[in-house]
Amino acid sequence: MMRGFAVRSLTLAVSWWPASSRQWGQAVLAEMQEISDPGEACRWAAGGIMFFLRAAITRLLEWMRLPVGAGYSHLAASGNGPQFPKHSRLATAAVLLATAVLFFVPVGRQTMRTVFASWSDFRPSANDVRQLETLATRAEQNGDADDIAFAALCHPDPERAEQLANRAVAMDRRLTWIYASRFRRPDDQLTDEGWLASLRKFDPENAFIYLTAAEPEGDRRLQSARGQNQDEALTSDKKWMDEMARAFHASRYDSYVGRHRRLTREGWQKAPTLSPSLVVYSLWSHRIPEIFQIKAYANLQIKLALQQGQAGHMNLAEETLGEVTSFGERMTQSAETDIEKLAGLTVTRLGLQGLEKLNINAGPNNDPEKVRTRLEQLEKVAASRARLRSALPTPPPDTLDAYERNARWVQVAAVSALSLAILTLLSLFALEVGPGLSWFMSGWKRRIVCAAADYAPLMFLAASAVLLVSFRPFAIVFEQYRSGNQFAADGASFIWPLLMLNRMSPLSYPLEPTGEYNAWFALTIALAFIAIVVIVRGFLRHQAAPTKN
Amino acid sequence: MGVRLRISRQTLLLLEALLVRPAQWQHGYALSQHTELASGTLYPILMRLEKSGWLETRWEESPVPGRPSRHFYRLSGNGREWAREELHAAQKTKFWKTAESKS
Repeated sequence: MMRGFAVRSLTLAVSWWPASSRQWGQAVLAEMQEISDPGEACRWAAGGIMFFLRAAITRLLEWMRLPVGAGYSHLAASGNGPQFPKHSRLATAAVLLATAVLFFVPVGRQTMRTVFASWSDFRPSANDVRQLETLATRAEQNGDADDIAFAALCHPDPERAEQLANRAVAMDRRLTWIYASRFRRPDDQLTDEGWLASLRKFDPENAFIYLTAAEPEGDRRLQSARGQNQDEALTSDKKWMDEMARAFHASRYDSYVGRHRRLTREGWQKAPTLSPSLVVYSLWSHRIPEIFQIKAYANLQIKLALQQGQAGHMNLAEETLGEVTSFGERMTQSAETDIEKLAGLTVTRLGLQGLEKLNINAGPNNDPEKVRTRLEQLEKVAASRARLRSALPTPPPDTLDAYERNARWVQVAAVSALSLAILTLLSLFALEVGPGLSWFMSGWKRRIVCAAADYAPLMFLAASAVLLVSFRPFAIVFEQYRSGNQFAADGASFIWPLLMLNRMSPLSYPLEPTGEYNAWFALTIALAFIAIVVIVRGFLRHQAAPTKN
Repeated sequence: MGVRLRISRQTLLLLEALLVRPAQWQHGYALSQHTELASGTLYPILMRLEKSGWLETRWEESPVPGRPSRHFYRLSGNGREWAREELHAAQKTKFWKTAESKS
């Protein structure tokens, strides 16, 4: 059996042997007949197979040293043969391998993922989700609850996110806060009553929990009260009123944005090649309270306080208004996003205005000192509000310019690299299968294809290098964010570069109201038109050419 | 001295074996037995010698019916001379000991 196996193996090798040296393989095989000892036969066959491998590799290297599209027969052909590229297959392969290495290293993979993500507005793709699932599986194996929680917050599928969230909290109760981040996100509207109960138990003194619980009630009331008095609709909802009252009485305010950012940084630090689309999705989807409902409750309390004042219960009225301003101050001091700070300042201002009105309405009993104090407090609030211009703090103009410049370089290099990669593949493919595509076997078309095969790989390598170098500032920003650098801790410095990348994306085709077209749009149309003309012309010429005998 | 070849120890072994009976055709297995070279080492050397003109080769029908033809080898006229020169040169550098000097 051993001998038979050895003979069959060597016979198979001979059938694959390069034609130029096949007779030597046959010579080795012929000697097998003279060897009776099975062990000796196996050794002989093994030697023959090694000889085959050497011959095959030698032949392959000879083939690789030929220009792309050339066969061995072309070496012997006279100068009247078809034109071939100047560079050998080996040189072309070396260039393409060098390019592949650039994109294989972590920074290369991160560059590709980020650029492609910018072309789809940083929406998580199927590939991103696969990465996340791999991360979640690994985290489950390692018992890493933090990473499972990170995956839960990044996952775009609500059902899967729910499973992961429950798993993470089961492993570590300190992660219960993640329920608050995923509860009723705008995109998925996950509503798990069990989550609310867990949150109440987890953090009973946090106003944010009660605001979260009140919102569904408030939304239902406001939807059903369209066209009617919204204040009455809300006041009549006892559950909403109770939850809001608990929120305004709670001693703390924490929307868990800081914890979310920390978890995201740590998770991303462990998986640095994870697509930024997932991180952006996670952070931007984090719930913050419904500001309208907070203001609505604050106004209701102010109205109540003024009624109490008119009824002569000044102390009670001041206490009611004091709760409103205290809540606003807690929200301003503890919130980690500017939009929440702004909401807190608004509520504080409403409360102070209410106190001011109360004092004025008090008439002759009005204490001028109290009124002055209120006015000073109101001015401080106005000054604080002025400092918060937007929900996303804008970096200085020169920083924005730098982001825009870098983003433009990245996108131009990316589009160039992609175009050159396609051109390389098409030209190499056309030359290798050339005999089957006779319509461009000669003339200017073949010259163009040969030139493309010669220079497109090199230009592809150059464009790829430019892409990686121009992406470096973005990679630094990501690294700073992941490492918790104070400069980038608020997330604004991380988001702005991505916004610029997205704005410079070649797939953004804004048609401005003025009729101004994006430059990429015009370029794409022009290239597509040229490509269609070339292809149609070539096809028609091929059809019209007489058949050669 | 013919086409320059990389003369390794294994090549010298083979040349010495071929010079034992230079006019006689020998098959690969016999050469392998004589030189103790494995087929994976022996045949590439035979191929290189043949390409450089040191070796003559021929196919011979097997006397046993049903068996394939065998490949036979012997040094060419020039090959014998070149082989002797190489062995002599190798002996001088003490890199090589002939079979007689070894025994």
